[in-house]
Order: sequence, then C-alpha cells, then structure tokens
Amino acid sequence: MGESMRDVDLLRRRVLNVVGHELRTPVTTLSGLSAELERCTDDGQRRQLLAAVARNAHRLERLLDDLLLAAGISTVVPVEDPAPVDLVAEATALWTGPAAEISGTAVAFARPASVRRALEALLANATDHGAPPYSVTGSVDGDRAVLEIANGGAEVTIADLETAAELFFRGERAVTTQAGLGVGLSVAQTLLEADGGSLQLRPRDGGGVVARIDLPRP
Amino acid sequence: MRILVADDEEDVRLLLRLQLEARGHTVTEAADGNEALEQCRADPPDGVVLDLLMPNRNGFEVIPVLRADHPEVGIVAYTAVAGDFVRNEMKRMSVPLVLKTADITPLLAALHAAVDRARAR
Repeated sequence: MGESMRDVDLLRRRVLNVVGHELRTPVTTLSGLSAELERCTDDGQRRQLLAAVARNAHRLERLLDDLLLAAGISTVVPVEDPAPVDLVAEATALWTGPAAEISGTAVAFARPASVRRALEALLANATDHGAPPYSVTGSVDGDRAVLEIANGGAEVTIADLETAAELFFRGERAVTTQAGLGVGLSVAQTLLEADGGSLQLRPRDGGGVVARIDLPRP
Repeated sequence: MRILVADDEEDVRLLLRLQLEARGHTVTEAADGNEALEQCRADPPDGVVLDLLMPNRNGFEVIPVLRADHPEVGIVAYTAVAGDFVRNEMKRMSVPLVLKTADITPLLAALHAAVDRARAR
C-alpha cells in the first residue's frame, strides 16, 4: 500500500472509530430510554425519561450538523441575516471554564447563531485541551473585528497545531478521558469562513495555544 | 446487588439506574473516576459498572486502584466501542468488557460473574 493510501486508510479508520463511538452512545441510550418509557408508569419518571430522550435526540442532531460542517458542507450553516455581534460579550456568555481574563472590544458583522456555534467550539477546545491561564481578548484590526482565545498548557509547535486542526483528531488527553468528535476546529473554521472570517492557531508564549478569529466589522 | 454506575454521561447513568433498579438492585452513581473511587472508599458496592472514557481519572486508571483497595468489588468495563487496545488492556487486567447496548442482559450477566469472582478471592 502506498503512503497516500495508508494515510487515507488511517483517516477512514479514525473517522469510523470516532463517529462510531459518538453515535453509539446516544443511539443505544435512546433505544434503552424508549424501552424504559414503555415500561414506566410513574409520571415523574416518565418526564425524566422524556427529557433524556430529547437531550439525546438533540445530541444526534448536533452530531450530524458538526459532521457536515467539519467536512466543509455549509448546507447546515444557520439561515439568518448578518447583524452586529459583540464577540467579547458572546464569548463571555458562553464561557463555562475556570476563571478567564476577558478584555477588549470586538463587534463583528456576521450571523449571530453561526458565530456563537464557532465560539462554542473554540472555547470548548481551549478548556478540553488546554490549562489555565485562559484569556479572551477583543480588538479591532482595520475593517476586521478580532477575538483571541488563549489557553496555557504544554509547549506546542506549529506542526502540533496543524495536526490538531486535522479532522477527527482528538488530543492525547481527550482520547482517554472524554468523548468528542475531534471536529471543533473544522466546524469553527467552516462557520467563520461562511461569514467572510478566518481562524488561525498559533503557539502561545510560555505554552498553550492562541486561537485568533477575525470577521468583518459592521 | 449494590452497584455503582460510574459514567460521565448523565443519561447513561439514568438509564442504567432505572434498568438495574427495576431488577431489584440498588444503584449509586459517580460522574468521573475520582468520584467512583471516593464512593468505593466510603461504602464499597458489590459491583462497579465502569465507563472507560471519563474525566478526572479514566477507567483504565481506576481499575488498578480499585483492585488494590477493594479486591472484593467486582468490576465490569462498559464502553461504547472497543478497539484492540481496549480489548487487550481489559484482558490484561482480567476485567470483563461489555459494549453499551440498550439490552441490559449482557451487562447483568457480566456483573453477576464479576461479583462472584471477586467474592471468591
């Protein structure tokens, strides 16, 4: 087998393994939950089961959207008109990690739901694969609104970042500690590019990563 | 049986709890590896259903600690998918491995066997 064929085979296995894992849990859970719903006679418990069914159905919907977006297929980019989006405010609202230093201002002209989804992916990437200190910094560069999401952690090289941006790649820690498709960066990139934006990753001085996004200003 | 379900997926824990309680078992839950070990220290169950991919100490890390501290507790590894690495590791650690399915039967059978083996140690 030639090197390129081996690469394709490796990617195929990685995709099927990751997708298999991510699909199997909600699918088997849904199947089990529906069997329990059939059996259950307690109203409170039925409500609990129905809420779990809805969560898992939503997770499958999100998984499907992420797979399409990660493949660069923009058919599931939210249908909405661009509007001014305060990137710093959105990132602050979405941040669920430990304390982060948040500063600056950056207002973009983009589709709000797309931007929120991209930010969600980048913030999750920072907390899932990075470590403190975390920072979110808004700024303006000519006609572009810029947001930098930085996390500390191990020293990384440009080559590491290129690998991390590969589809279905999951960081060493994520492979043994958590589920996830490993498509967050690709999802963010597709969404940002659909709004005329871009995403760049660079090593952070002192270890960790800086994810820089830029979008048109209003 | 008194069973600890250790899984970071809330809905997996909910489902297993309902399935196991409906069959007369008592269930406690842990959302990560450290929590599972703490609960075993505080009140060792008969058996542990152990997800392998968890934050704060994954299943691979929990098994040797649990085995050393509580050899009387039966362990079953419970996972969505199992490649060669997982299968070989579980074989090496002599931990039965069950793939997540909607049907509780294979998990219950493995749990009963693991608990019996652990008690016989």
